[in-house]
Amino acid sequence: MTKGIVPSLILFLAVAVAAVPWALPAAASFILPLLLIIFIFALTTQRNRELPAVSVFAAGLLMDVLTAGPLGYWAIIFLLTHTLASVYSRRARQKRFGNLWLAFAVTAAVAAFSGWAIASIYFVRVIDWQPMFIGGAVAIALFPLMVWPLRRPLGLVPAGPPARRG
Amino acid sequence: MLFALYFLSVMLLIFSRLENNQIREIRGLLTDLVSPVLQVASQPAIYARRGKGQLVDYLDLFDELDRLKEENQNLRHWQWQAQRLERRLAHFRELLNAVEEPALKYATGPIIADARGPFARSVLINLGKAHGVRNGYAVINGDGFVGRIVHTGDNASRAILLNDLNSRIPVLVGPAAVRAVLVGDNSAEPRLEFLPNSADVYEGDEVSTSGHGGVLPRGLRIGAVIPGSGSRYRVRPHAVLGELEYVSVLFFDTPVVVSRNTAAGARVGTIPPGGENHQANARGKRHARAGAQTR
Repeated sequence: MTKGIVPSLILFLAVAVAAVPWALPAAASFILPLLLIIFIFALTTQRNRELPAVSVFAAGLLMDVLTAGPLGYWAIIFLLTHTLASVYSRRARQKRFGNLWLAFAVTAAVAAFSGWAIASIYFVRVIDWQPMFIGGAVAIALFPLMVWPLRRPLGLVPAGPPARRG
Repeated sequence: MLFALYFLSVMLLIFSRLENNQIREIRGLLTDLVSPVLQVASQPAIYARRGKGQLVDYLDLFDELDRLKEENQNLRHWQWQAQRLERRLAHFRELLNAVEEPALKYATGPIIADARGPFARSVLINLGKAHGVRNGYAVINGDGFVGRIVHTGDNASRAILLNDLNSRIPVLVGPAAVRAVLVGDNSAEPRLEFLPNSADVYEGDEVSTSGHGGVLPRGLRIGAVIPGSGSRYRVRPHAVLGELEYVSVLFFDTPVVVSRNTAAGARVGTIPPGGENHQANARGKRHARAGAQTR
């Protein structure tokens, strides 16, 4: 029960930092919220898989409150990221960094598209897709910068050469 | 477990769409709970932005000095004009035996969070009911009107910005004071709607609040007209809505529902009668910051 506390606190702290006013232009309004999916992906795929889904849900709700959006919106996107990261973590045969990045790129694309689709359904009109696209692209581009230094401590890739299976 | 969380998220989303009152109350409660944490968390962002601003100012120091000298010359001329008009106005008011407008009070506070995402263009202000803030009050900064309060907690309030999708502001456009409604669409420049067909509106015309409906004070400067798509017009706000740091909340009540009750301990300033425009124009960002620091 207590083993998920540290990654959960890291995630909540990241949500608070993402919500403070950094004076980003309107086109970059999705960059900070979508950067959070890097944290969720990395903390979910780490060796011990300690980040509980309840914490991811609570972080999403917190993000909804802080961004004045409808409750449940970021919760769904964060849960989706958590689910995809869990699936990758269980099924990945070779945990190379390139594979990890590719898996994150797919996850970020799904998260960004879901965010756009849910918002469009919520408003019953097609909303501007560019901020979502920019946010997703920036998250994919920044993933190596943020995760590469932590890949060994978090156990995202093995310490030695890739182990042979089978 | 995971399925239950997904289900809960979808249900919350549906209830939010239906604008359920309990959801609104829960949101208000959570906002109040996290506002002290946000106040602390926003400090590095505020210092980083201030540092960046100072660096830019330093690099442009000589150009800025030349610009300010030129502006000062212009302002001296305008000061003379304003003093002359003020004397004439006072004379006319005396002739008409006009009733003095009540002074407008305000409180200034920092932005502790801003909304990101597809839903809202809003900010969380570190002022709440305890400071006398109520729903509907206008929010300004040194550059002009920026939005209005939509939710008030004990110590923090949420204000939607004038470019928010739900924002509708009755305005006056240009020297002819043409009536229109400024409609937010989440873009940086809100649209001008309901302009009369025969209206003479030109690029660069000043746009200010009309005060119709009694919710907002009349004469708060908003921005300048720019051409939009087709024959439509948009307004470029004078305030940089993405870079708000400190804002002032004007305690303007609808004339019919006037209450002078502000909580004890709330520090409020006063804007002289008819001085909304003057306040927005001249007080400037520096004054707003100074006001906030005295809180």
